[in-house]
Amino acid sequence: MSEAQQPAGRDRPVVVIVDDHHLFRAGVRAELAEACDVVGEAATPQEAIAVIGATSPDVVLLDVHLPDGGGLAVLEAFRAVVDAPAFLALSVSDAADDVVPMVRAGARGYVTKTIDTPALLDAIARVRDGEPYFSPRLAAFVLQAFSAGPDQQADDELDQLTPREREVLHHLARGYPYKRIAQRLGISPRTVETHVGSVLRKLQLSSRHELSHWAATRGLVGREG
Amino acid sequence: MNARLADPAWRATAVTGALLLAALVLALVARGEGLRVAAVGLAVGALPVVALVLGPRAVERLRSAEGRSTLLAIPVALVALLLLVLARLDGRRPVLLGTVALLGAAAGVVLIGSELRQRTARAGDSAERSPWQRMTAVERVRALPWQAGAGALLVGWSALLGVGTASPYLAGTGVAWAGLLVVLIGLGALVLVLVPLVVGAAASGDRDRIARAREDERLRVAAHLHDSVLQTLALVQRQAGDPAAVARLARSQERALRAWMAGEAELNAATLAGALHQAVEEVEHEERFDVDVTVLGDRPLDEPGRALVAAAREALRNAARHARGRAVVVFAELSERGAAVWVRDEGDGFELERVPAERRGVRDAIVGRMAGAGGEATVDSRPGEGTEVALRLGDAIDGEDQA
Repeated sequence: MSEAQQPAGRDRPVVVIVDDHHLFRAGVRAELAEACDVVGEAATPQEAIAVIGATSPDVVLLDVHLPDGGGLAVLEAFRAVVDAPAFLALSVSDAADDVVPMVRAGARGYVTKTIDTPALLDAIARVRDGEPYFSPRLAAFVLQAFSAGPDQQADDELDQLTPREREVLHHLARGYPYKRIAQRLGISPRTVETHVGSVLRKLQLSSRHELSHWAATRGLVGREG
Repeated sequence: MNARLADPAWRATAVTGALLLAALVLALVARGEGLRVAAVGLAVGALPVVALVLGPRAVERLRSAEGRSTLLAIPVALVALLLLVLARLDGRRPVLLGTVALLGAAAGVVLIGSELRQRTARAGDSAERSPWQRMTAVERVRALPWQAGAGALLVGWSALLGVGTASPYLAGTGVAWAGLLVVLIGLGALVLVLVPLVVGAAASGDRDRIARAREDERLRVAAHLHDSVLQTLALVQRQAGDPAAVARLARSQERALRAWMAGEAELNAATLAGALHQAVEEVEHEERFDVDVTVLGDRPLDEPGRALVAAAREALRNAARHARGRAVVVFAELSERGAAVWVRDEGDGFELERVPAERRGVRDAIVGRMAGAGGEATVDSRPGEGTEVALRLGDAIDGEDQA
């Protein structure tokens, strides 16, 4: 978050905004105008796929809740594309079962729509450079996804985090920036990024953590639906 | 009627029904091999329509509240179809005719029963209607008892058909056999009618409860929206000149609404997660700053838990003072066995040894409170690197996540 000023030296990220609320798109566009080139907007997955194909942006800001299949439909369409743009998921929802499927389907990061501009610019810069962007909340959800009951044996190494990855994720959930995590754990910032990257990969490849499991474990106190 | 014609599913149903009926008639009267093949072809031709148009619609309908009554129709249709196929396979004409008579009689009894029930339950609202009534779906009670009329005609026709079919065999056997046959046909028709009725009765108890629950739910939602969202909107209108106040109101309302949607609000009084959310929100109001909160898991709110919340509140107030304008993050991991809460600010931080006495007092309030509850509090701060207060209870004290 504090590194938001750094990408000024490099060229400006090329961004497409996908959201079905016109006012929201206009607002984000205005916010990003300083630091990014917004080359396109779309309101539906279909439009999004066309606009992304036509403009080949660096980063796509992708709303989770879209008509006709949601943000997931867009991610599915670009899953096998080699030079696909980086997707950053945006949502008003803070529910794990909205956020995690997006990341599993290929989004490189997730932010809530209430995020402030410097943090959003930081997230855009990060995913543009091929890094994951985990907000504290996403880190917490991911941590939860990998902490199934202790009696459950993980049969696949994709299904569990290494102690280091867990530690890094835990620090992210507590709001530490990468630089501080590196200092605290005595490793380089690059290594922190590597750990986060491998967590992202495990999240996308692991099959054990069914999403229903998430909803079920969100609270210990019985909850309906 | 026009509305029905405009509905593609209705048209598809009509076409499919006509095709299947044609196939059935063709199969029943067919003498040559070619005609039978044509009948099968016709029936198979109707199937894609079912799969493509009606399939999704049926699934959608089954998921709806009305679905249960629709579910009844499937076994009934299957039983009828099975009987017809068996009779057809049997090959003897009297068996086939007898089956048709049985089904006809059953349908007639159903129609009469449905008419009777509609007329007796005329004033009842839709929630009171039985699955059969919804299935036979006549919204208004009609002036003419056409259903009962058609039903009576069907029963009469079936009786004639049955007697006509059976009479050659009964010629020499006397009244006893004839009576037995009539009784058997009657029993068969009754079974066909009663089984769905019994199932329907079992379902109808639920229905009333569901209708009442739905109304209660609506009232509850309305009351909640009135107390929360409408109040906030009124406040927003009054403070429209103060953007900061409006943003704060919107934010706290958003969080409250979201918690309520996630089912957390009702638990507030009883669980640690609820109490933590509440404490965060209160401090946000008091100190006019924003906190990013994530709570994983939950546990009942007990005495140590209350101490934890009080300590967290204190830590948040400190964070608010240190980190004006910079991020404050609260992360909590709760379980039945333990609880851990981290309150972190991106403020200036400080050297623990150099903290002035009065500030140490505040910190002691946090540490002392946690110690008194059998827990533990640690403060981690370095100049220029922010401050993190960790609060732990139970198993979390020696947990792996210690920083």
